[in-house]
Amino acid sequence: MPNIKLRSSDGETFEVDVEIAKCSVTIKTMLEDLGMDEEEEEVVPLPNVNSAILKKVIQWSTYHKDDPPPPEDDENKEKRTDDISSWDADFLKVDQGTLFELILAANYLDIKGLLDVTCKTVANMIKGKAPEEIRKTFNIKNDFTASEEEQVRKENEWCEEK
Amino acid sequence: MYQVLPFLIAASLPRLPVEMWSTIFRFLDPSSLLNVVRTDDLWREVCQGDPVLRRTVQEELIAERQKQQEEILNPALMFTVERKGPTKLYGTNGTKTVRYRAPTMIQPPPTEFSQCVQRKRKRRQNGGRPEEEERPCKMLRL
Repeated sequence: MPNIKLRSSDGETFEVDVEIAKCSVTIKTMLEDLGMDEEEEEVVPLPNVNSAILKKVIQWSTYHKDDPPPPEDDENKEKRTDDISSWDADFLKVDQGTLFELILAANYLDIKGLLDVTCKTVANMIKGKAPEEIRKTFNIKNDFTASEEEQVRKENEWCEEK
Repeated sequence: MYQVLPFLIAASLPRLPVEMWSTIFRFLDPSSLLNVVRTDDLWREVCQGDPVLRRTVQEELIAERQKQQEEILNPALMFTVERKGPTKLYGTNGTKTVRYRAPTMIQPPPTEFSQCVQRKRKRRQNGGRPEEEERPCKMLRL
């Protein structure tokens, strides 16, 4: 199997199987567009991803390389968030900063499966919580400067727009 | 560590771009989405800017108001009895609690809009086709 080299933002190079790297639509398109030869010792720079995150992304794609492509989104369909596999749940037991960086990396590299599962994890952190609890979870300062009346007025405004 | 240095953690958190938040919020159920709107100004703007989220929040707000209006008209609905301990009815192991009420119930729900939403919802259920309205027949005098 041919390999490909990926370079993270902090200069570390990772050698991975082309098939695994092609989980990422960004890399796949890049390889197709550039028509890179397999013998060439090209390094693909990924300036948006640091080495710690890239390592995790490679770990995830290696485990999921044989997955069928995810189905297309349907906007009106109710989305489930409780269908995270136990491997993914374990994989995503990381701190919030890493989780957010994984979301950014999955978005940049265009790995739909990883993006879905990370977004679901964040959604689960929000689900069923009162606003005060959500603020605590995400360390959000209560910057609702508006008084309660103001808030109600805003919500009314929102309702009356058509 | 999270308790000791919350400000440092907050400073080091990468703020997600707006489109990522809206991707995440699309996974939420309507009532959680309403809580998101009440959490943060930025998040409210995210929900207002996204057509799908905006519609969901609007519908949920209307539904919540209607429910709250019903509660006001029928105060018995405002109380739920929580029983602590064994689920037996002997003795006084019941405590009365007042259910949480959001501060929106100052105005009654705008009726015109809720009708509009219902019509939209019906149209979506019909698969995008406009509903067949009952039109009064025109009498032709021959």
